Amino acid sequence: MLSASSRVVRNRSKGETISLGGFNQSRSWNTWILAAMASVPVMLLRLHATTAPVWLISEFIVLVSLTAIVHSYRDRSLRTQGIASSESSRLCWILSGALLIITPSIHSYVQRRLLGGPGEATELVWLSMLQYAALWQAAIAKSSRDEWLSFLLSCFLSLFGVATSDRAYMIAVVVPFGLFASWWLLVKYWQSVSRGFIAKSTVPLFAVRFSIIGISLFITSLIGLLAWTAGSSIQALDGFMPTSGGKGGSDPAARQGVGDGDMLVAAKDKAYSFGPVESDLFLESHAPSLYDLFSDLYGEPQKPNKDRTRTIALANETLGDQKHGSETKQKGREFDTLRKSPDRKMESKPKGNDASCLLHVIGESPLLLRQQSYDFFDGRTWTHSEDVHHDRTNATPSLIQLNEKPWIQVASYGEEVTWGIRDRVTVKIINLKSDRVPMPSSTTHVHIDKVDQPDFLGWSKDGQLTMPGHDFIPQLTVMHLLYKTPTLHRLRLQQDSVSSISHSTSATSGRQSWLHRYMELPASTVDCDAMIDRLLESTPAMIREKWTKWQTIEGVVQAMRRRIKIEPSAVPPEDCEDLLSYAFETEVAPDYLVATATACLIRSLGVPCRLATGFYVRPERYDARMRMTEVAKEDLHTWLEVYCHGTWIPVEPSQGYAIPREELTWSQFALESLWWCRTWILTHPWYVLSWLLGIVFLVVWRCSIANVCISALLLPSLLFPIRIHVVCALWLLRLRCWLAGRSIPRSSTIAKFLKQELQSMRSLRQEETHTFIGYVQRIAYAKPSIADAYLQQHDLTVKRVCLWILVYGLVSPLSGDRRSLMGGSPLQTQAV
Amino acid sequence: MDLSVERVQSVLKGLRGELNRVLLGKEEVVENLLACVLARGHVLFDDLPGLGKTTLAKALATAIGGRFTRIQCTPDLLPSDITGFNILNQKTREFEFRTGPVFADVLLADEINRATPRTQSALFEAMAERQVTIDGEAKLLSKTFLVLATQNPVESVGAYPLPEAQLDRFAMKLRIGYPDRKSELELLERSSAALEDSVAQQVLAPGELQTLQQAVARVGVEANVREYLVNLAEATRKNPAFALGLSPRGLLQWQRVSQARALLMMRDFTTPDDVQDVAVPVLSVRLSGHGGAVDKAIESVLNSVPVPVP
Repeated sequence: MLSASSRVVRNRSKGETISLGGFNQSRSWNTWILAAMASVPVMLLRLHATTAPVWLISEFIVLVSLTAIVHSYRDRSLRTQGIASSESSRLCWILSGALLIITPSIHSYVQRRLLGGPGEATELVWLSMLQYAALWQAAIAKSSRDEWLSFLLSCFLSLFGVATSDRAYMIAVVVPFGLFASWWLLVKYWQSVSRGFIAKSTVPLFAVRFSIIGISLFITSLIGLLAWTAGSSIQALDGFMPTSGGKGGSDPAARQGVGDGDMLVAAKDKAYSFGPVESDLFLESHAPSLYDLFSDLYGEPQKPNKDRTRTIALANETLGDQKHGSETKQKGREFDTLRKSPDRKMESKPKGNDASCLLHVIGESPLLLRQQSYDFFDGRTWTHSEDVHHDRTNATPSLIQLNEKPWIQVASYGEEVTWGIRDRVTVKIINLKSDRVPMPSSTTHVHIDKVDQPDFLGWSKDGQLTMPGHDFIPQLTVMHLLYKTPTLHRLRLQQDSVSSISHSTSATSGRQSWLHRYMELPASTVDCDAMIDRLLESTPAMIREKWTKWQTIEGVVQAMRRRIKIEPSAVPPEDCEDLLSYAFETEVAPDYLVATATACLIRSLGVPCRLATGFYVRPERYDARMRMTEVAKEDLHTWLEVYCHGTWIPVEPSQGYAIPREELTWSQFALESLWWCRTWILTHPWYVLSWLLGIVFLVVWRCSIANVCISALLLPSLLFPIRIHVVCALWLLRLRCWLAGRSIPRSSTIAKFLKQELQSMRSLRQEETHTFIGYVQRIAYAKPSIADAYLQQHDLTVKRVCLWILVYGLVSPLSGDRRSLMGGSPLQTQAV
Repeated sequence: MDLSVERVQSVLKGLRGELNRVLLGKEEVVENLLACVLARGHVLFDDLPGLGKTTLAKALATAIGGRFTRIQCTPDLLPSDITGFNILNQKTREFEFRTGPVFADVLLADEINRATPRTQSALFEAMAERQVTIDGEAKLLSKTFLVLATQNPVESVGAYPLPEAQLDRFAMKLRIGYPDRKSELELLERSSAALEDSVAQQVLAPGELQTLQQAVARVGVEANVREYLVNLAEATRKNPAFALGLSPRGLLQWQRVSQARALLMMRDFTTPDDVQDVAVPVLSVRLSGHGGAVDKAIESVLNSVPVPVP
C-alpha cells in the first residue's frame, strides 16, 4: 500500500519539503475536503426531513462555497505572511466563524416565520451547526492541531449520520469518507514521522504498514457495523438521542427518535389530529359524506328542463339498494356534468384540522385515490350500470400472510402491462363517511389491523373496494394498501400495443358486452375526429402516423392539459347542449368537464375508458412533522381510467394535477427520453434549427462576440479620467488574450505583454506603442506625479492608443482580432 | 554635482559605445557590467580564459577615467601583496606604506579561486568595507572601487572555491561566452589592421561616476515592486533547488542593480522588467546549486511569482 504511493522524504533541516502523493502541496485542502464529505450525510438527513429543499440546498452551497473561498484566501495569506496573525484578525476569524456556524439556526427561524410549519428539528439544526463548525475549522486551520479537531468533528458527523439513518444509500456516502479518512490519517502519520527523523530515503516497514492497514480496517469495520445495525442502534441509543416523546422526555421539534411514541399516546386522547397509527379506536362522527362534498365543491346538479326526457338505466337491484341501503350508496350511482356554479359562501373556513380533513395519507404524493367510477355517459350525466362489473383483475378477497401480518388480497394483475415495484400507502379515515375504500387504481392487498377475515372487504359493482355490512367505514380506521404502478413503456413504444387494445376490445365485444358501455359516445357528440385533429394540429402528420394507440391517447391528454385551464366555477350554462364543444371553445372548465371531454375523445379512438372520481393527494399538503398528507374536501377530483390489457390505467387530463407516476427502468427511461427528444425536435424543427444555428454561431464566433460586447461595454470608460481608461484598456487586452485561448504567464510583465499585443494592431506606430507602454509602466510602478508629468507630454498619444484598443474590438470583430491573437508567438517564451 | 538628463544620456551612450567597441557582440554583458558599476557592485566573471575579461576590465577603467590594477592570483599570493605593506625606509628610519593593487578604481583579480582563503579574505574586506586594515590601521579605498574577479570553471585542481558567504559580496556573476561568428570576423579584421589592441577612450569626467551612482540610489522603487522583490526572495528560500535562499544583503544588492538598470534605460522608476532582467546574474552568484540547473531554477522562481499589475 505504501510502496505504491509516491513519496519523498527529505531533509527538513535544509529547508526541503515532504511530499506524500502530492498531499503536502495542498495539505489543508485535504482536511476541508474531508469535512465537506462528512457534511453530505448530514445534508441528506436534513433533505429527507425538510419541506423546503431548495432553501436548504442554497444554504449548503453558499456556506460551503464561502468556506472554500475563505480556505483559499487563508492558504494564500499563510503562504505569503506566515502563520503570525494579529489579535484583531484572529477575532475577525472567530466572529465570522460564529456567524457562519449559527446560520442554520437563523435559517430555521426564518424558514419557520416565512413558510410556517415547525421548521427544522432541533437535533438537525445542531448537527448542521457542527457540520459548518468542522468546515470552518478546516478552512482556517493554521496548525496540525486545528486540522485534527476538524477531522474529529468530521468523523463524528459521519458516524452520527449513518447511525441515525436507516437508508441504504447512506452507506455509499460514508464508505468513501472512511477510505479518505484513512488516507488522511496515513498522511498525518507520515508527516509526524518525517518531522521526527532526518532521512534521505525511507523503507516502508511492516509495522508501519500493518498499523495503517489496521486503522483503515478498524474505521471501515466500525462504519460498516454501524451501517449494518442502523435500525437497532436507534434502540441501543435510547435516552441519548433526541426523543419525540412516549417515554417521558419530549422535544417539541423532534421528528424522529428513540421512543417515538407521542403519536400513539396522544392519539388515544385526540384521535382526529394525529396521523395513521395502528389503533382499534373506531369512533363515530357526523362528518359529511363523499356525495355531500361533491355538491359543496362542484355545486348542485342542475335540474333538467321539464320538456327534456331523460332516461337513466338503473337496475332493479340498484333501486332496491337505494330504497333500503345507506344514503351514501343511493347518491353514488350518477354524476351530473351539468352543475351549478359552486356556492363559495357555503365554503366555511375549517374550524380546525379535525373538521376539514377527510383522510390522512402516508405514502407517495401526488396520488389518485379512487372512490367511484362511471361507465356510461349520455351527454349530460355519468352513470354506472350495475351489471357491467367484469373486471377480471378483481379477485375474490382472500387472506395471505405478509411480514407476519394478515393481508387481504383483493386483486391480481397479469403481465400484459409491465408493472413497477409494489408501493404502499396508508390511509386513515377521518371525516369521510363512505363504505368505499379510497384506493389507488391497481390496489392488490389491504391490511387493517387485527382484521383477518377476507370477507371484511368486497367489491362494489363498479369495481370499487367496499366494506360490506357497514354504512360507512368507521372513523379512524387505518388501512394499509399495496398497489402497483404501471410501466407504460411497452404500450408507448411498441406498435403492437394498438392491436392489443383493439384485440381485447374486439374479443370482448364478441364474447362479452360489458366493455361496450365504456366505449359508447352520447348521440349528441360532435365530430371527435375533427376535435382530435384540432388538438393535435401542432404535431406533424409524419409523427402522428407513427404513433402507437397509447401515444395517441397521451397526445390527446397532453393537448387537453395544455389547452384547457381548470376553473371549478367555469360551469357551462344551463341550456348548454354540447358540453364537449363548450369546453373546447371556452378553454376554461371544471376538472370533471375536462375529464368528460377527454373521455369522449378517447372513446372515439376505440379505446374503453371510464370516469373516476375520488381524491387527489396533494404534495403541498404534506406535513413534514407528522410525515403524512391531509386530504380535505377541496381535494376531490375527477379523472379518467383507460382500459388496457385487462386493467384500468389512470390518466390525468386536468391541468395543474400531476400525471400519475410510472416506474421506468434506466434503459426504459433512456429510450423514452430519446423518443421524447426525437418527437420534440420533429415538432419544433424551425425552433431547433434556429437554436442550432445560434449555438454554432456562438461557438465559432464566441471570441469575437465577447470581444465586441466587452469593447462596447467599456466604451463609456472614455468619459472617465485617462488613468481609468488605461486600466480598462489593459484589462480588455488581457481578456482578449484569454478569449483567444492564450494563457498569460504570471511572470509576464506589462511591458512584454503590451509590446506583443499592441504589435498585432498594425495601425499603431512603434513610437505610439512605446509611449503607451511607458505611461502604463508609470501608472503601475511610479509616483503619480511622474505619471502625470509624462501624460502631459504624451496626452494625445496615450488617448489615441486607448481609444484604438477599445475600438479595435468593434471594427475588427470577426476575424482580424482572433487571427492576431492566435497568431502571436506564445507569451511563455518571452516571459523570462 | 548634478548631471543633466542630456549629460546622463550622453555619458551612458558613450560608456556603452566604448565597451561594445572593445568587446564585440556582447551587449548584454556590457549592460550588466554597467549596471553593476552604477550600483557600486563587484563582478565575478565565471568563464574560460581568453574571452576578453582583461580587455573589458581595462576598457572599463579607461572609460570611467579610473586607475586600473591587476592581480594574478596564485596559491603563494599573500594578503599584503594585495593590500600593500609597511616597509622601513632606511634613510628616514621610518615605516612607509607601500600601497598594493587594491588601491585602484578598477581591480582585476584574475583566477581568484587560485588564491588561498586567507588572501581571498583580505580582498573581501576591501570589497565589502572599501577599506583595508594594515597593522591595525584602516586605510580607505577609492569611492568608486570596483573588483572584477575571474575564475575558471573548468580547472578545479589546486583551486580554492569561494564559499557562499564570500560569493555574496559580489553583485553579479557574468559569463561572457564565445562571440558570435560575425563578431569574431570583425575581431580578426580589426587585429590584422592594427598592431595594438583597440583602446577605449575616457568618457566620464572625474567625479561623474560617483554622481551617477548617487543618481541610481535616487531611482524610485514603488511598494508593489518592493513587494515583488520580497516575494521573489521568499520563493528562492522555498525552492528546493537552492541549498540556501537569497540573503537580505543579496536582496538589497538586487534592488540596487535593478535601479541601475532602470537608470540605464533612462527611467527614474524601477519596473519588474528591471528586476527580471538582472535576476539571473544577480542570483546565480549567490544561489549555489547543481551546476546549470541554477539558471533553470531561477527561471522557475521568476515564473512562480506573479508580477504586480495595475
